Amino acid sequence: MIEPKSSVEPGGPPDPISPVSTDPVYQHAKRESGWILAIWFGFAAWVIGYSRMRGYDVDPEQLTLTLGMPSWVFWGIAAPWFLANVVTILFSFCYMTDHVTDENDNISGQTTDSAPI
Amino acid sequence: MSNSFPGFLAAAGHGGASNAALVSFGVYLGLVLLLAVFASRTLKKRSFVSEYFLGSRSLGTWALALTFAATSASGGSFMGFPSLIYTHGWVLALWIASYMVLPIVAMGFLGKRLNQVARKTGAITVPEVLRERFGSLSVGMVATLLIVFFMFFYLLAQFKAGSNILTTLLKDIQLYSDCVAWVGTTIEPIPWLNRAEPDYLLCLIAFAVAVIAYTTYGGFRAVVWTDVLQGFIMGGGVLVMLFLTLMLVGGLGNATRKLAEMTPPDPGRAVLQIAEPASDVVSIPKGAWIRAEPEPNSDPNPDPDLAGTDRPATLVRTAERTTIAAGASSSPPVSIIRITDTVGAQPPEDRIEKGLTARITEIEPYRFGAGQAGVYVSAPGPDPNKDIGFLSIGLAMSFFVFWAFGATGQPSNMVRLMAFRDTMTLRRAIATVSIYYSLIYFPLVIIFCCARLVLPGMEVDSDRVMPEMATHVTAAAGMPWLAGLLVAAPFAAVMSSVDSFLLMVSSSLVRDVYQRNINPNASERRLKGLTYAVTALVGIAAVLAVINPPRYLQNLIIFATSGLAGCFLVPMTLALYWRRINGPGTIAGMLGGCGTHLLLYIVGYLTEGRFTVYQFLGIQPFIWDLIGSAVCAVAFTLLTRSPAAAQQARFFDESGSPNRPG
Repeated sequence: MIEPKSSVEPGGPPDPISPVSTDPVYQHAKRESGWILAIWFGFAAWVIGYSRMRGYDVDPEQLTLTLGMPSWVFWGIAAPWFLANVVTILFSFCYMTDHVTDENDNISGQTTDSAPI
Repeated sequence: MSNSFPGFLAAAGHGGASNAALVSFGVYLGLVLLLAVFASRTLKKRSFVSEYFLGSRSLGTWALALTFAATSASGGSFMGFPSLIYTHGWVLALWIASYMVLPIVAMGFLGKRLNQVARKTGAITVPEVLRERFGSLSVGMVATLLIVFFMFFYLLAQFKAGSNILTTLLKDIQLYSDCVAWVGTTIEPIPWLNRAEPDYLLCLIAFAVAVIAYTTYGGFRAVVWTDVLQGFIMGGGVLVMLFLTLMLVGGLGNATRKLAEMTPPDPGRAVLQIAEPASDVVSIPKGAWIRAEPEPNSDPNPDPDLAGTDRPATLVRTAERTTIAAGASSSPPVSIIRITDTVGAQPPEDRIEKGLTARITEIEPYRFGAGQAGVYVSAPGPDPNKDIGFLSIGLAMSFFVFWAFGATGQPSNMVRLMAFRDTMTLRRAIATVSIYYSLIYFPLVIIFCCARLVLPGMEVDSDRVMPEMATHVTAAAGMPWLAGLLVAAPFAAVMSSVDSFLLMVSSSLVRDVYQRNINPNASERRLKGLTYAVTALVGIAAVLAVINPPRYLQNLIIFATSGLAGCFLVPMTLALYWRRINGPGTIAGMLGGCGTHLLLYIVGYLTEGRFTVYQFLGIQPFIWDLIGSAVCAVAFTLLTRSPAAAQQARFFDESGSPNRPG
């Protein structure tokens, strides 16, 4: 990805625009972080929303159980927790980009063949 | 007691069970110290500073995963969290729910980029990353001071937790009781020391010696290896406890239905009475079970069949120690809780004090949930202090933010993200930690909801419900020796946090203060000696600070963890992902988060008269810390000079060979 680099020295003459490649590790990390925030938000909406609707001020006479726990706990917390594990594993192994460590012990922009683009 | 070792382990009876548990615990402790010795040998073969503070950036999947998980799981997880579950019920599943996404957020959000920047700059501490990122000594110094300040509070809470765990484990052992008596006699004439409880003091010193020794001796690698061991102990311990607990209560469904019938106890005060004046001082310990005098039937809608009768006698449990003076027949008013239902287990007759009755003088029922069935199986959960209950929906949302992003902002977690070997390690570790947390936190909710049925009246000292439950379920299963390993789980959690934080504080002082600012040309030998000395001294200072411990363990932990995250999450995130941010903006971000945090605690103290945070608009204070930090960071950045083009290019543009400092 090519981004134009503009002057950042205040008070000085503007530098000519020259194309510079953005660090691929930075690019991939930034993209992955965006998706991680989305995942967090999705599960937050499920857990908080469902618990608010079904978990507050439950009448003990009306209490229902699922697998031995209050149903609102099962559907509002246990089930999304299981799914969060699935999503985390899939995200880690199938989406996050793998970068090689180069001979200078740095994480380089080079990706491995097995890593998704 | 049998002379054979297996017989010794299988010895029945209270004292025998405690001895067996102590042996198991001792085996675990021995393994920890052995790992430190091996780690120290590795230390000798490599560059001291890099190896001591960062394990030479060579952590593999299991090491990264378990050191991350074990460091995050502290005394709060295994003492404070069970305490809250026991007190407030199933709603704690909602309180902790953010842990389902904590691994991917805390490790994935910053991990890859932080590791890259740390390698590029050769940084081995968090302040060093920030200092090198902006080429500013001031940034590094501010970061160092904040870490040392908040970490110290965290250390205090963990040392107290470690001592509490040992106290519970050892309390029935005669040798321990003799040592406690000796300590009590010894410290009696010594000012300040004589204010400490002798059992607590003895366990504090024992715990501190063990942790300080292996941390000082082995450094980061010892910390990581012991974290791996402790991670297995914690995970295994919880799963074993889950199995034993469900067997004891007859299944989860049965337990939940009974929990739905339970009502919260009534806190209050009572005068304890004996029939005849005492010939000598009568000491009544905290946690004593006593029958209350029948109270006049003051029900506004009385049952006609009970007209003129008194309400049946109930049980109370003392929440503090007290005495009846010689020649007197009653004590001063003492804090108690009154048990309000008979659904759960009742204390055995032999544990109810004979010849002693309680005359209740005052009752302060729970502000939410008093006398109501069903509060332990629904939100917001009962609460003695808040009218809106334990967990309002706004607070639940706040905690969903706090746990995940609070962990992301912890410098102790950031250091681990700087230490992994390669990005494949990071990906595998994220998946591993995710599964690991599922096996720990949700089962803890189940175990300690069930604990209400098994251990009544633990509200008087709920921080001890974990070791008490471990002892109880293993004794009930005929495996008292297992208690030592189960109690090792919270102990492991505390140790794994203390060693990490101890190392963080010492690395900040040695590397970021001494080596960078006072003596940049310090030899490796000098650094080594200084590191050992500082690590030990910090530990000793923390011990001295908790000899007379603060009362609110969990509050201290939350103060420190949320303070650290409030100071570091936004500045570090911006440093890694925003070109425009500069040194002044980073400093402003750190101080803005810190200032907001301290302000909320000051207001909390002024309004409630105790060490607590003010929850402005009912929102978890961490949110306000982040807002304060972000506003300050962005504002100061935009009002000051842009960073140099070369600096931006170094960290954001694809470049050739690295440019590490010498």
